[in-house]
Amino acid sequence: MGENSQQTLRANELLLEAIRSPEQLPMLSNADWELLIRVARRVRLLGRLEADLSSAGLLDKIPAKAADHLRASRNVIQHRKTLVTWEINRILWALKGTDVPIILLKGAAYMMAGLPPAPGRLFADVDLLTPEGNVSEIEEKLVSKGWYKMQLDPYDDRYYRVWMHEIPPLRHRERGTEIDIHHRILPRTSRLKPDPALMIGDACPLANSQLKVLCPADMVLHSLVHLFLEGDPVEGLRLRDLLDVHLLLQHYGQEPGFWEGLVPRAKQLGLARPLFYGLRYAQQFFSTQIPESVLLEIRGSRPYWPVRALMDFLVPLALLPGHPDYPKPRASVARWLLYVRSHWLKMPPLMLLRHLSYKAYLRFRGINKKVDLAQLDLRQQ
Amino acid sequence: MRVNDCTAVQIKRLLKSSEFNVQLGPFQIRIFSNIASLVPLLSQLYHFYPVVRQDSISDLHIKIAYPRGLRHWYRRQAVFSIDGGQPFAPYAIEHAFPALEWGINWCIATRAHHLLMLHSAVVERNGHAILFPAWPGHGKSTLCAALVFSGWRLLSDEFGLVRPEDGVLLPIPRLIPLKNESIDVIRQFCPEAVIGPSFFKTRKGTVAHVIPPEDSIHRMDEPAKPRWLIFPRWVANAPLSLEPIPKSQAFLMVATNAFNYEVLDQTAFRLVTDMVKDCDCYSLVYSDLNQAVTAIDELTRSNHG
Amino acid sequence: MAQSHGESLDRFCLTDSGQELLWQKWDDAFVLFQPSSAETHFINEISAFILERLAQEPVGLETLGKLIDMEFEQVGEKIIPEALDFWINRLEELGLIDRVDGISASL
Repeated sequence: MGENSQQTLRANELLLEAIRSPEQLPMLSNADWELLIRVARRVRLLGRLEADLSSAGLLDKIPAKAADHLRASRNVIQHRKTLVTWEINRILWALKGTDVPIILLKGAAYMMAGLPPAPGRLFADVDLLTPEGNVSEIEEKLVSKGWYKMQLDPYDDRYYRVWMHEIPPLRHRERGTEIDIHHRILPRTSRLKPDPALMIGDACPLANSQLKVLCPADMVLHSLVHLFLEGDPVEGLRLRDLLDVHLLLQHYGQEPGFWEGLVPRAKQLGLARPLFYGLRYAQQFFSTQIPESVLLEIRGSRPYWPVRALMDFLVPLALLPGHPDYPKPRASVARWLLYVRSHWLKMPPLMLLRHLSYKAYLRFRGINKKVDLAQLDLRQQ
Repeated sequence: MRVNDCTAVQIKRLLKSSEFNVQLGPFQIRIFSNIASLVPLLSQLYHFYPVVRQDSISDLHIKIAYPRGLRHWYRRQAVFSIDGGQPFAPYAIEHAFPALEWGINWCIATRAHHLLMLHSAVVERNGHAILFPAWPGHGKSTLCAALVFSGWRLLSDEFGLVRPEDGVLLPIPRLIPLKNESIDVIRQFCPEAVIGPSFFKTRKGTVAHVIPPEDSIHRMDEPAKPRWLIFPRWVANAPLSLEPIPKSQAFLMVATNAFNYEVLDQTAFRLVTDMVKDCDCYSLVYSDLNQAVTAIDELTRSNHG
Repeated sequence: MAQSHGESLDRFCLTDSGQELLWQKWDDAFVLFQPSSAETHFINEISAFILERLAQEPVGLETLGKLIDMEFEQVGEKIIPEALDFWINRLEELGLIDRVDGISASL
């Protein structure tokens, strides 16, 4: 094995082991801590390590330098959590007097429902799901109370309105948090077409609130859709999204009826394939406990073996960060391929070609990627 | 071991094997580079800084190197990267050193959220620190350089690092970058100061770096308590004025001119409130550096008896 | 408090978020930190008075105007309804105060 592969392996193993067995972290050498911090930062799991160590009461058992990095990450996460919670509070204030169902998705849902993926998770925006017929009412109410529609270039705006499963994001004029209002969980053009009415109909209300979250099976399936279909060309598949899936499965797996209902629900929504992959890779990376009967039940939905073999090759490459000093070109290709695949599943081929080439053109011109900081003051970064 | 214990050949080897691991205040910074012209610069300008033994945890892994592949040959560029990511567009190879210095600051400002980071120069004498929070262009680095060659210890020309546990200021005595006219002003003010070569036409104009006094670097582990908040502003031909300002105004200026006041929530509010309560707050307008240094000297002597 | 005749039904109270505020008075200005939004607010004496008054009990707009006029009597000028509306809307938008809903307002 070459040096590159050895280092990649070492970095990946270090990260997975830290997540699987945080109680072992106090035994780590300084050199391993140094690498673990870099790798975990890259996949945004530093906060998870902090949360795990903190709940095990082990934060003072690790080197002070490592603890500084974890604390820094915790502070950022705590702050984002406050902002997202407050944004939800303000949304409810703005929508007072309406009885539109509002279903929180992803991070906001984990947090407000107090689910295991919430601690240590970085929260970006507020994602909401509501029946398509209510979208404009919500949008108008928010706009009348101080939110504005974010300026998009005409290509993106049209793309959103015509094809997407959400409207262009809203943002309050005094705050930074974006609100994404969805009316379905995948774009209209997607080959997978889970019926939003079913998901909205079965959503569970949160105590003392107008808010709801998806029912357990749907929440797992949505986090899988997010993992496999909303990747990033550079970052690849997000390991933290697979970790969400693992933690949800472990949590809801204790509830009676969850495992029995999971595969039938996936089939009903047309999401059996993502579920197959999700269970497979959650088990592979995090040793998720999944009943034999469920694994048997989902076997019928697995792809043919060449596809399976290809995915088994690509997914770990795209999910795991590798060693920052020994980048593997193969991993970048895998990340890009899976990104294209996710779009392939969401758009007709010609449109995909147009979309990707437009995005590539932007990247080529340097619009998305590099900021020339000469003009910017350091303080604003 | 310090950088000046290393020969140029050793520095080159350390840089190439990413073992050039220097202590800059509370941070250990590991630098990788294959750019030969950086070796004499680091050797000269970093010579007081400690080189850290290899089995401790480094905080930042910085690489400043030629681009990979063909671009290496047809364009003379330096690419700054941290943990494999490249946050900035490439620099002209001649500007590799100022890019490295500025890039390290950027990395600290965007990552070290376990501390409250004020945008401020900090100097200390007799255990009491003055903070000079200021916006760019208000002459904070120039004033700071003048003070550290007039008997004050440098904590930082850029970062007021506040430790949340007890509100003390942590030193990070880095090189002081001077811009344009300030370079000659400091040369005249303190001819004994060692100033590195001038880098022309960088993204911030001409830049040169002052080496802090050896004592400041030597004492980078000694925190200091905030005692004065002075908001400086250089105005051409202005008569000197050093006037007390209301604390509400001081609070507003410190909070809005911090790197991460927003991130630290209640902790930041408490720390800045306590700091403003504990400090005497002044605004300073000056055009003549000698007058400014004398005024600060008199103020701080009369004030803490 | 007795509701005076003709007063609009809306009464205002502090929200949970408004009750958690951390106060710091400097000279003539108040700095408030709102933990639930992570925002720092600079407010004037009138806003500070409104918040302090509403912390005691819910009050309607008209009454609030009178209370402000009494408090700041020495200034000599009376607060105009538009200004009061402005401050109230601002504090409401910041999530510090809210309208008491129909049920408790009728109590």
